[in-house]
Amino acid sequence: MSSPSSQITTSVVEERLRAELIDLGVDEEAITPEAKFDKLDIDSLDIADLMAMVVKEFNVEIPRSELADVTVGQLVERIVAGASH
Amino acid sequence: MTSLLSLAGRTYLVTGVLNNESIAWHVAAALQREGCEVILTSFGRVARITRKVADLLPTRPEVLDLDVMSDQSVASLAADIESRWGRLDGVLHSIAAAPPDALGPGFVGAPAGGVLDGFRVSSYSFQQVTTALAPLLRGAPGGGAVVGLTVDSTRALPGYGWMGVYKSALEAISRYLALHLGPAGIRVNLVAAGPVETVSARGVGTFSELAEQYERWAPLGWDRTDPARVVGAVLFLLSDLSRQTTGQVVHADGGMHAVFGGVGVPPAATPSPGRTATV
Repeated sequence: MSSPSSQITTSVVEERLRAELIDLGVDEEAITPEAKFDKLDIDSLDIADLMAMVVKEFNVEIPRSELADVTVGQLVERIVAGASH
Repeated sequence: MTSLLSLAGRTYLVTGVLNNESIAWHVAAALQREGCEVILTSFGRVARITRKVADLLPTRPEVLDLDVMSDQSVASLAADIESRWGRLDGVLHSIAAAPPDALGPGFVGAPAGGVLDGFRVSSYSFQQVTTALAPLLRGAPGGGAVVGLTVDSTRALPGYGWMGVYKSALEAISRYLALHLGPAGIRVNLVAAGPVETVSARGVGTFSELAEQYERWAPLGWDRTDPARVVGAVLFLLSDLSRQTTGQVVHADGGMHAVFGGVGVPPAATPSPGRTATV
């Protein structure tokens, strides 16, 4: 049986995250899979905004503690893994 | 089955939903599950997030604009609710802000401008919003119920700085509102929450240490990741069960305010009677 989450692929999540980060004013060049998420030019409200998008669109809740030291690429994989459960 | 809370069909205004970690979000969800209509307020950058997490509630509520730094915004909110809903049964005030340099040791040197803005948002707004909405609360069948959120402000909390002062002021304001609005059938109470890991809490530098203290020493235990622990006290104060209660602070903190933590064996390390019985 296929579920909606089966469509949540790495590229889908990557694209949404990138679009949202750009929308929040992050420099497009700075958004690479290797970039440390908490080193991007975002504050706690931006992070709350992003995580609200993630829970709303992918139904994945990521505890704040898991965002420390994570790269953008790892965050994408974390969301994909969470969505497949 | 009739709920003891008898909230079905009521309309509540819930401020302070920043995201789905917010205590206010969990209150809104619980009210909707009880069959209430919920109206949210938000402002500025936060409104973008509020609208997203409003979609995660059982029913998508209206999100109205409220900037408590503006008299005009508060007046517009009251006028808007009056024209569209006609009345209100209760309000949750869950609004506070302070400049980072007014928190913690910043208490000593913080400049007046930011400190006074913080007072307006975190304390004065409770009086302002409540009195603006009082005409709408007056006709509530169960009595109008206003609830604000505080912390245990009876002692100085390291890390809170001016926020601790704002919360103490909030308690005094709730008593004066209770005094002046009681004759109109409106009751005003506060819930003093234990530390809950929210976006606001992240502004408090000592948050982790405070939460650890509660989790280790609160007689009933505590869990910083569980905002639902505060919801019951809020629902009680919004419901008819609290009709004879006003000007009160109900602590939803696992009992931490009542004990002297840090001496002897922590309750968290003591097997509870329930657990002992099953051994």
